Amino acid sequence: MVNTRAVDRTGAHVTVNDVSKTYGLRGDSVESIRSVSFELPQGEFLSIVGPSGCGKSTLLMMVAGLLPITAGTIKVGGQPVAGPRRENSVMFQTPTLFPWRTVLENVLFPIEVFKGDLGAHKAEAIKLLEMAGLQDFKDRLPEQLSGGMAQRVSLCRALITNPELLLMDEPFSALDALTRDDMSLELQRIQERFRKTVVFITHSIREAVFLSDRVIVLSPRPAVIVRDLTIDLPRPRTLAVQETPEFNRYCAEIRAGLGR
Amino acid sequence: MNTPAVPQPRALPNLPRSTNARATIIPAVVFLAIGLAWHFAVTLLKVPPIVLPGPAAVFDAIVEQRGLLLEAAISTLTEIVLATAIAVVAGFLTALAISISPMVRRMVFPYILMTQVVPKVALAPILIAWFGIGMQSRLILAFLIAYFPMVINSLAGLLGTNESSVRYARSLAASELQILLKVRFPAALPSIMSGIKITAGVAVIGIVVGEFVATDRGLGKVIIESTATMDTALTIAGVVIISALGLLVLGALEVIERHIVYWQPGR
Repeated sequence: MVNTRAVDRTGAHVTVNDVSKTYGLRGDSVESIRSVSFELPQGEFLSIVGPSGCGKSTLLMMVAGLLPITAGTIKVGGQPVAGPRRENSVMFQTPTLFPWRTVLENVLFPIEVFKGDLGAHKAEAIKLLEMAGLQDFKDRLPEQLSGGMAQRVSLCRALITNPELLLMDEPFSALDALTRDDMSLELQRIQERFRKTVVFITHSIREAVFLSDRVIVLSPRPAVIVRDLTIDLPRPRTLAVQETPEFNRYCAEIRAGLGR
Repeated sequence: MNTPAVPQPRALPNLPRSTNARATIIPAVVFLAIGLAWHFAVTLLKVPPIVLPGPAAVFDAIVEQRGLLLEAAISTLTEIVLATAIAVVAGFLTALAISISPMVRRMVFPYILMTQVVPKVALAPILIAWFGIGMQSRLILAFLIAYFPMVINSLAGLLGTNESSVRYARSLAASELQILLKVRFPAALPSIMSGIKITAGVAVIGIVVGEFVATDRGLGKVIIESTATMDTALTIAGVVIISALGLLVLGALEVIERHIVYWQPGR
């Protein structure tokens, strides 16, 4: 199991240094991200908020090693990102479960790819599914799950490898509002327990404030950082925290950063 | 812990669907009605048996010539299965090579397309000149007809994989081989199975046409020879048995498909 608490000299787990991204050829190119820099300590929950199409997902995909960087450097655990790393888990907007695999087989998929010990991880997978309230569904196929359940399975699958870094690309945006609240509570509970370093992309201001230790706000394209807020609300947070003046002050600040 | 909404448990999709009594009775009634209409049309209109014998005469022909027909049917069925198997394996491997390498695609695709546009049946006499009157010529003819749909369907499956699934596998630093075996291939199975069904269907045509030309064995030979002797009842018996073989092959593939592509409930 990988959990070496890797940090670089500055103590940051993720370092994004002067990163830019340009799509397309020189003559006809789109500048997506311009000189973004931030450092993320071990165990911090960071949300990145921005208008749609601003390149926040692009930034996450570069941290994940799934997209090349045009300029600048990204380091994870002190190492420059050159491609996907097995110490990361990425969660996408859609659950991307394999329809031919049962829920349990889907959760064990990364272990299969890593050629790990499936027998040893099976108990762990069942424990994660129990935590997500899905123990009775472990032998079902994904088509028998609701959207929220499928995304929970996807979360279990992201946790089975005990990742150092959890990269989440608008994972709840396809869910209805009530399910979304449930997922937020669940993610918070999981975070209390595992203390992963998390980069969470969202376009929901309230979701970002509710979940995060820190929120970075990006401008429209080309994206630059316009706000970098530390969310100082006591944990564990309940849904009721969303009614407090402090919570709404943070939301207002982010909204101001987005220019609305 | 918030409990997720529990969907109603459903029957596992890989179990055969319950055979509704109605679903069997209605086709049987239609079949019987067609038989009766045929029978009365032939008797009331006094159609000469050389032109069209009634269903009873065809049935008699099947019973009388059962030895001949059984032997011919076994030969034809064996060749259909062989030709299908060859076309399926070759077609899938071709699609695999094309899906992996754009170079292979550019190199071989025009020729594969040619196997589709050339009228294969027109090649039958040349095939016989080259490969003789026998199974070889028939298998090659059936293969030429059946290969293309297998390539196209497999290719559609292999290239049509949901890109977000592939991206997810890449995020785990999965190798290209792992992505092929664990993501692209299973995702392609529904298309591959449709390809196999189409391939088997056209292989029947290839083999029977082959038997018309290379008349050493099979139901095609029975049809050609009974036409020459004006034994129309036997000709129609041959047609009926070829149709039954086609149904048998497709039915078997349907059952296999339900087990292999168990996650596709609509199939």
